[in-house]
Amino acid sequence: MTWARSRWVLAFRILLGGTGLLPWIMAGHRSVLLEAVFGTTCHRMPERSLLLGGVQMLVCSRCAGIYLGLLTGALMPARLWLASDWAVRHTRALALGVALPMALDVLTQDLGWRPSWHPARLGTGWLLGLGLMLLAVAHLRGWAEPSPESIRA
Amino acid sequence: MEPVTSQDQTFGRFGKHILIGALISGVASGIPLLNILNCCFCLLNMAGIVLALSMYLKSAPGDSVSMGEAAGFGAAAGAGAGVIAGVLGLITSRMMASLLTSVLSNAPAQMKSQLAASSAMGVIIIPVDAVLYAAFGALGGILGMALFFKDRKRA
Repeated sequence: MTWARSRWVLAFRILLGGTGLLPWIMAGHRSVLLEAVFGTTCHRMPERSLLLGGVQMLVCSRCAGIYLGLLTGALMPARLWLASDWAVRHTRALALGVALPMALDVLTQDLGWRPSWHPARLGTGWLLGLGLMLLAVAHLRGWAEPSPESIRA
Repeated sequence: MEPVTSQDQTFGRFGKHILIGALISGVASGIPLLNILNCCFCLLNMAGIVLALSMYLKSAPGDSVSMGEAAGFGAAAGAGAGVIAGVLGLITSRMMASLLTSVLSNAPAQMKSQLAASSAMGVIIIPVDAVLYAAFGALGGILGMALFFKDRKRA
């Protein structure tokens, strides 16, 4: 049972990791099809997107960070401290913690307090993608391999 | 809605609500201008799935949902939403293309063929859209369950 559940966790990591990999593996290459697909989940404004080899990425720099975070989270060892029972117990606080820097970045940029800055967009997006991916893996792992502590809870 | 009995523990018990989630997310994601909200971490897709999940939990007060089931619920509803959004996008682009070609009757042949090609590409986009929406849907199912319905979580 646990083994079968672990395979579902792996499938989830492959699905999300593969999704996260796509904009990065396609960086520097043009694909009209993928531009249309990713255009449904990202504004793809040229001034807010990274150019690699003179070609605009499939998503804006913030989304590129989020996708990189999903990929990083999918590749990280599942037994990392953030993907633990502790993380499961503090899900709301952790989710807020990883979303707050991006919210501040969006707010200060869209209120015109400072110009759009790719490193901030990329970094805060990466933190959100990574944090949410690790939280999701922690919850799924708790389901696949319940620890005595989580069973008691 | 009929309450789900506690004996019914198969994944099939989510069928109706997966469809509801797919419809809510897909239709919202297929509406021009409203679909801009998807630029915020696939918000419409995730919100539709969380809403459908909450509707299921309300309809089955005695039932609980495991994280694996929540992920499956989200992935299935997300895939459906991707298909619905893709079909709606295809219809919208076909309508726009026919409108443009009728308004611009003297438009160059190259422009007309580009419009036809872009609406034809909509068909190829649908399965890729379904996979992308399924991925975010699975994430939305897990996070929705963890953030909003943790008291209904089953080990």
